[in-house]
Amino acid sequence: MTKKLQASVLGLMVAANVDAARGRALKLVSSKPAKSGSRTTRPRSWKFVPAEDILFAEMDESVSVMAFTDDEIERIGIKLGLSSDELAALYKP
Amino acid sequence: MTAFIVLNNRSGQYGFAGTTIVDVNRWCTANFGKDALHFAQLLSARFDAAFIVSRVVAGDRLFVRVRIFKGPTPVATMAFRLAPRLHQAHLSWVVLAPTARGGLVSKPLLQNLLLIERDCGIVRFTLNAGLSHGGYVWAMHGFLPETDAKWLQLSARLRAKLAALAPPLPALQAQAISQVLSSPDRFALRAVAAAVTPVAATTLGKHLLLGERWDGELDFSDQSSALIYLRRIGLLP
Repeated sequence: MTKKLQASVLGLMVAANVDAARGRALKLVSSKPAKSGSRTTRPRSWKFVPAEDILFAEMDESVSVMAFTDDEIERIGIKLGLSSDELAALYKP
Repeated sequence: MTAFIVLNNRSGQYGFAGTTIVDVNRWCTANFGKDALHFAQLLSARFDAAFIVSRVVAGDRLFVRVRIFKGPTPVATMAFRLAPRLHQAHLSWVVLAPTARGGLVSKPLLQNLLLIERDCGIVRFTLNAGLSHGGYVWAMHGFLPETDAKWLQLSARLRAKLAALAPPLPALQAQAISQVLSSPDRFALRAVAAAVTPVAATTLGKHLLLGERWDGELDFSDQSSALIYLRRIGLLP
């Protein structure tokens, strides 16, 4: 059932805008009849990758967002007892 | 057992299906403060359409899987659960279309989720940081290991990885990172992730954390963690 709905989600037509608060189950009608064999012709754009991979790439692309602010680095140093030389060695090479 | 919500933000059309939509709607009204339609609208704000599968478990937890569309193309699918009574949310997984780079999908998606969490009174946001990049990425998003004990397990693996480094780090860097890794405080993970000492064409933080797996949490009541997350998802400069 899920796959059928996903394939035509933008074409879904609803009989009327019944208030969601009533919790009524509406009959969903697709404006486009499902094509037979559509499951095997999924467009390439429907492929997904883990969000972590995209977020990782975006972190490298975004030069405006530094890893952590100077305040954060200073806080790390204080909390973990790092000297200023050690802080510089790890965070400002 | 499951409720379905479809929403087209461009046309304003929406629909509900599934015998448990009543339970989901009741859950939304009680815990989110608005009905299921508003929940779906907030979750899909700035996107064109959404298809949501959801169900209420044990009376107070809501399981949600949402597929998000830009135009006719699905750009993200995400699964999470909300437990407002515990003030806790768990992100099960998120996948994005490979074309969704540049923050145009990930940032609004995580912002929408954050707004849902805020309205549900969520304070603690958990996930399993894993896969090839998750161990590093979520640390950089302000997540920490759930407990100090879990940090100790992770730090033992990181120390082994550090020991195997060839060539070894210069003395000062080695001393500093060893001190960080020997800390019993889970906060030390952040210090590892932030380390930008060059190692094997990458940074020390990435070298140590990429490929690692750990159970993480983001505590919104911790100001520094919250600020890091807000910056990462684009809500703060």
